[in-house]
Amino acid sequence: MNDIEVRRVTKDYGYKRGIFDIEFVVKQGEIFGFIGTNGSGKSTTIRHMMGFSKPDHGTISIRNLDATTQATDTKKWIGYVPGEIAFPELESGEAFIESQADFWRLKNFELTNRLIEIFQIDLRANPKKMSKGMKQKTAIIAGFMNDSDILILDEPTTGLDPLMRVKFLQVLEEEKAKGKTIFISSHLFEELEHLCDRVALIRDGHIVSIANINEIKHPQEREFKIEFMNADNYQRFLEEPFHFDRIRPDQNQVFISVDRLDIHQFIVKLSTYDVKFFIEIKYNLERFFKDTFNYQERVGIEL
Amino acid sequence: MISFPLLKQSIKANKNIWFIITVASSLMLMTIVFVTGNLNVGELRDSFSDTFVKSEIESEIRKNSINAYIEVNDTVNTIYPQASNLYDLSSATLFVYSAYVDALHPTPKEAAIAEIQSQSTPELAEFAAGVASAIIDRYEVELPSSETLLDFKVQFVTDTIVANIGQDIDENTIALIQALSTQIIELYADTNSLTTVQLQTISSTFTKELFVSKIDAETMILFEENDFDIDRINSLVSSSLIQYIALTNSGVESDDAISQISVSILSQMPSEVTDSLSEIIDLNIDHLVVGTIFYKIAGLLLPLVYVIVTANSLLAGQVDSGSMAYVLSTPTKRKVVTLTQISFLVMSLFVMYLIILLSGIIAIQLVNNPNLMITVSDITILTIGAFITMFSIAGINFLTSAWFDKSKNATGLGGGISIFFLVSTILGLLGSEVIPTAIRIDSLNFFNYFSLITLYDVISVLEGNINYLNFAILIFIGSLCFAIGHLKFNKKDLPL
Repeated sequence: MNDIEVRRVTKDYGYKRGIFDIEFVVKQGEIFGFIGTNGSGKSTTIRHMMGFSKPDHGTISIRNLDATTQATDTKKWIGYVPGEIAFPELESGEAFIESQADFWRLKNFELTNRLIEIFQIDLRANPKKMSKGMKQKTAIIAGFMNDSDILILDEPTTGLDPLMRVKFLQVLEEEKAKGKTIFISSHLFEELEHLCDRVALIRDGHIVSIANINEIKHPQEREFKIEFMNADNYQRFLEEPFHFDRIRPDQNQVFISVDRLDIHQFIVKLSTYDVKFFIEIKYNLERFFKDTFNYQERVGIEL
Repeated sequence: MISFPLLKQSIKANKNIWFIITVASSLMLMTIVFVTGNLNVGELRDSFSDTFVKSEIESEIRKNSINAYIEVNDTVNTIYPQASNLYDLSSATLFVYSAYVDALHPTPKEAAIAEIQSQSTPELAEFAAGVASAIIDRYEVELPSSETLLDFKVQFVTDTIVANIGQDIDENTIALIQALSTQIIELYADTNSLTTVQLQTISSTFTKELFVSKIDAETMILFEENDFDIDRINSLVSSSLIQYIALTNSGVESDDAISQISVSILSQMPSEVTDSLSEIIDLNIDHLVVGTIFYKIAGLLLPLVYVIVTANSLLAGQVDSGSMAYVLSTPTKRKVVTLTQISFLVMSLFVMYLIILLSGIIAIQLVNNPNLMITVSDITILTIGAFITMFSIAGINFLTSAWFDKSKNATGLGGGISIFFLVSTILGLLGSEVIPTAIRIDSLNFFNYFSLITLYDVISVLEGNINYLNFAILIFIGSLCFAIGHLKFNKKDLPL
């Protein structure tokens, strides 16, 4: 079952700004990452998912309800952390959290209190005098407090210090374990790489590709970089039946790709050479998107 | 249809400015009522009125008494020759007749008539014979004694004069002539000849006696209100007549004498000045200050600031900052948001004006000055009118707040329009009819046509005829703006 379905959504603000033909689904229980630079269309897409804006074309549904026309009905499932943090004019963070609880008619403050504890935040401060990190934590608590099934988070880690970021990512893992569906946007690859099941890259309003993190973490081929002690060993190794991606004769270095089933055989072979060092070149999300993008550029896919 | 958490939020967010504006406006109204009530703006008007109105009344009394004197004196001068002739003729006839009676003449009457006729000039012979015959006839009937002889003659002469003046004379004039003849003849019988001065004295004495009794009841009330009692009027009449007689006797023309004696302060000034002075006397300063200055300008200014700031903070401000996202990310409908914010805006204004009204009423009670021209009912209707006006302006500001995503655009347009209305009203005031012509700049009245606030017609309200159509238009404009704002906000894309 898909909790969020975005079907060919276009919103053209003119001057090539906006989002174009955006299409993806977020399955129930999945953490779906949404990555892109500033101004690439992340927030615009989220704005449409929240029903704040109406698409020119296409539809978005949240659990089969139209996110635009039935926006209010979809909200009972959604917890939202906005990208722009600005609170209503209230005297304290506490008053803001209480006010949000009123909107939700919330009776159970267990999760709220736990989050306050985890984030070690003093909510008595006036929102205007809060640091960026405090504001972000307050916004996260407000978004999570209703224990909603679907969490839509627009760059939620902005302003958090590294320690808090780790704690927050742990909270997300816990929420995922509870079966929550999480949609999270970010401009940091490593953040999403470790957290998400799938990640979509948006660039200039277009989705470049959607990556399955599992496939990236466990690629079919692994890439290694090897440097030999001398030119003899280097020359002899070139005779071997491996797939050479690149060679550097002046440094006695080779780059090779090895199918994961052939790893054992490769290591046995390598032990017969005088090797200075060998390292595995990790395949990651950033490289995946870079490769995809370069490929699309090469074959001339019009973005 | 409204969200109480949102209402609570709006109250918390706007309570400070609401409180400050409400207190400031209330204090302003109380101060204005105290000032107009205690400084007694009425005193100024009263002193104007004392000076000008009394001067006018005095002038009127002088002029009228002299005119009355002239009329009386004309009559006296007409009557005197006739009366003296008739009296002489009567005396002569009775003297001759008595002589014939004493001489036991067989027909004393005919003999006396014949003698009188023969002594008269040929033109008057017949007239003299007629008069002689008439008085002898009457003498033979009444047979007056020597004590009553004078009265008899006076009565005869008076009757004859009255009989001669003809039919088309009203009773008042006849009574006047009778009275004058009697006085003239009584005096003439004593002295056998009257000087002009004596005749003038008769006229003036007579005018004095008559003048007060001729003033009608309504005028008398007006005179008494301005401290002109009968004694004061009489002394004014005496002095006017003495001056007039003295002036005319010394050769001054009658008209010049009148205008010299009855000169008033106003008649000495050019008519433009007298017009504007009369306007100032008529000006209701309490109405101007409380009605126009407070309710159309000063009392609108602060709530206007409240409306501009608050209407913006209720929608555009929250959209611009992004805080609206928190409300809309909960199951709260947009139309509930707009209806809640409209309710808050209108209710907060209502309570604000309620408190202003109560402050005004308390101030009126504390001042407790019967001369204060603003009543509790005046101030109640004025406040309702101000609330309706502000409702309309609140609608405009709410519309811009709902329409624009940027605060600066919403306040720029909504606030700009509102301030333009107020400034136009201030400029228009300088050319409006409440300002006395002396300091009015008529062409500025033009600005009143560009201000919604003009529909709030405080002058009519204070004069007691409320223009319901104007209020209906204001309510309609306000409601329309609220409705359009409501629909627009529900349809538009929000940059949250």
